Amino acid sequence: MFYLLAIIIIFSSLMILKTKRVITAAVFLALSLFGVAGLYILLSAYFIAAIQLLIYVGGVMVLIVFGIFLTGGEG
Amino acid sequence: MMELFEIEGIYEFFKYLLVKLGIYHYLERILYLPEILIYLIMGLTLFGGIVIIALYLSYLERKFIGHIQVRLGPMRVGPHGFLQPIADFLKFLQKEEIIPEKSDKLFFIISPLLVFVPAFITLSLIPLGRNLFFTDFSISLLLVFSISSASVLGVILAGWSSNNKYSILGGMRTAAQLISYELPLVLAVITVVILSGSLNLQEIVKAQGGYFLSFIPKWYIFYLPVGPIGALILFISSLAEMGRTPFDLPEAESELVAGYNTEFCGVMWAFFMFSEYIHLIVGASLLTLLYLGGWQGPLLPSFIWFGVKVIVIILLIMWIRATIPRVRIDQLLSLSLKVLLPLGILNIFITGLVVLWF
Repeated sequence: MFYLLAIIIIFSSLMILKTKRVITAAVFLALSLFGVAGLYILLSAYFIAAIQLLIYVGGVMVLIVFGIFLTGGEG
Repeated sequence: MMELFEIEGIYEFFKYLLVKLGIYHYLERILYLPEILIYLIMGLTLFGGIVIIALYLSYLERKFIGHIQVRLGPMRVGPHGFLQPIADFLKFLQKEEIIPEKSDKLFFIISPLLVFVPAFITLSLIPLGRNLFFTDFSISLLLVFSISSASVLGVILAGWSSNNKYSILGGMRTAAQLISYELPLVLAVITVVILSGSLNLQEIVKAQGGYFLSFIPKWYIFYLPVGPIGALILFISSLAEMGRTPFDLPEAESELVAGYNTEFCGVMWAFFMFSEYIHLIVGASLLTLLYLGGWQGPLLPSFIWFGVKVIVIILLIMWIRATIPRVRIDQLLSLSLKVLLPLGILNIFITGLVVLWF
């Protein structure tokens, strides 16, 4: 299970750098943050996993996507 | 028969069933196979339950609002239109999936799932009765909020990827509304967490057993003065979180066509509809669990009490939809930030004092 999560995290982190479009990179960032939350669950740190989802996926990611939409450009 | 009521959790129930059928013994030879199989069955049970409940909630809503507005609602399919939701569901399934030409194909296809899956997971965390629950986490209350906050991303992506100005306006509005109402919602929940001292939904419900003066139930709504205020804040902000009237700005049909799901049709639209009804159920059951004593109640089995309370709240929400007009977006945001947020913080402060002194 650890290796599956590690592959997801590494793959999506690389894809953040490789993709041309900002919005795709943002979605891959969300995927890698989900993977990190999964790692916390494997360490049986459920509270940190829940807070990770609440703050990063629910807060920071939405902020980033809002920023991308409001600044215009290629998207 | 009595030992069936002793089983704790739906997982244990299916395990008991497999053992009774004599299959469990054979499955155990392969590592993890029984566990995986039981989780699969649980997921399918929940999915089927959601589909049926969501369809019949839509029927209930149409009938109830129809009778409030002195008309009959659906009457043609089956007796009193009872088979109408089945016909609707078949219609969704056979519709063509139209994907707009200039849309972002990948995000257009995955965004309904990004909205539906978090809603589905939050529903699995809700305890339905004393021994009737899908999962029992130590932090299930926190997990409900953290997972449901992930669905905001799906809403924004749905609005953006369909490449339609009404969709993107609806998506932005929905995201603004969901983010701004998450604050008072969580503040109202923290009141209960302080009072009960637990983040586990089962523990919170168990803490509400018993009676004041032997006839008023010890539900948190009766904890004066913080209970009623907290319940009111939770009710208003979960109305906004669900996108129901008077806060149904996400799909204000007179100004935005249908909001972020304008371009979706067929099964993809059905996913949005299901997740909307799941939000309705989760919001009503959170209010029930946190302030109305969850499955606590005399005489009847626990899950019937839970069901009755949830249905009453859902009917109240539908009643509001039939009677109250929609608010403007600036009124919506100023209500959240100027009224509910300070009230919630004050409520937490008073709760802290009450817990400290008594």
